[in-house]
Amino acid sequence: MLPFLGVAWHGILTYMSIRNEITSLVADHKLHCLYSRLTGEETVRTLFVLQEILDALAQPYPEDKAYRLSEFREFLDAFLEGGLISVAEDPEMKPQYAMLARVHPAADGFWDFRVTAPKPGIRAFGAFAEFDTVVLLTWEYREVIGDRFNDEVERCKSEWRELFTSPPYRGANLNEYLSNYYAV
Amino acid sequence: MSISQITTLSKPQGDEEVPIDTFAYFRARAKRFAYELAIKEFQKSGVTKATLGRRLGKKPDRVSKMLAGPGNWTIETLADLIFATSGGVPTFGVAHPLDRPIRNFKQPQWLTDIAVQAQTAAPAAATIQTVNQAYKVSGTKQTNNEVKLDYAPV
Repeated sequence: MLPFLGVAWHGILTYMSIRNEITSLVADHKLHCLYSRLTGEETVRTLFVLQEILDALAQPYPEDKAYRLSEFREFLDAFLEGGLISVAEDPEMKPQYAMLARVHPAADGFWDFRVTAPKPGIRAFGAFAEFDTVVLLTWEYREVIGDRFNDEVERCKSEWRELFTSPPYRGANLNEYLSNYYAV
Repeated sequence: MSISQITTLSKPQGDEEVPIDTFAYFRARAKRFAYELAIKEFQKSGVTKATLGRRLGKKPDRVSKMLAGPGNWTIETLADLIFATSGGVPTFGVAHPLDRPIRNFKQPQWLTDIAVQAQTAAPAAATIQTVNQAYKVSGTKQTNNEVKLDYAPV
């Protein structure tokens, strides 16, 4: 933690904005700013990822997982480039192919990035830091998650608590979370 | 720790077989473009999901599933959705994203600004580098149409 990064320091930590926290984590190489493989330039949206996710996206992929990991990478690139994202707000009523869905309890502000094809797909978990900016912390093959979905969500929350003092960003509605979405 | 986001997406070369993960990437991208086209047409039309379902001869839950994502879409799905929505037909074009000039990644401006402010506010903290300094572009090259962007710590 960097005590000079926007912190009112009176013996206790009283305030540190999420941007300052991210900047500090990037400088410490704990978070990485992902860029699109195709554009390579400034992207419409922003994704910060943990090393765990960067490792999964690094080629060469394991032969038996190459197709799925490549789809995962394409999904993240499409997100970065501002592609249309289908979003399910109700964790209990998400359509099978929704790309982005809130996880229960919605009030906690965590989200599931859903690579749904080819089945059984991949899930990645994280939270918004601000509009069009997501911190993606954990990922797993859907068949590995199985019925331990809540455990996987908890692992993501635990990572968040480890890294941040600020809570995830919470918008009043989807317009305050991201651009170019389709509510499903 | 070196941070590399090297991409090995490359254009087809001679008789060399295209790797399956490259096909996977561009198939997913093509589906996504098809999805965006169909959803934008649907949103523009003002047609309801119920009407679209009746036109397609499908139940509402099936239509909701189709519109939620392109997971299992085929060219027939795209054609049916667009025609049932507005009587339209999709037209196609070809882009060559790997032919575009390579551009260096730019992190969000605020990330740079805060890091610079921090350094200005605490010049004595010599171990803290701005993100730009910490991630100097160590090599940008194009070899056999293979796009490589290497970011490595100074």
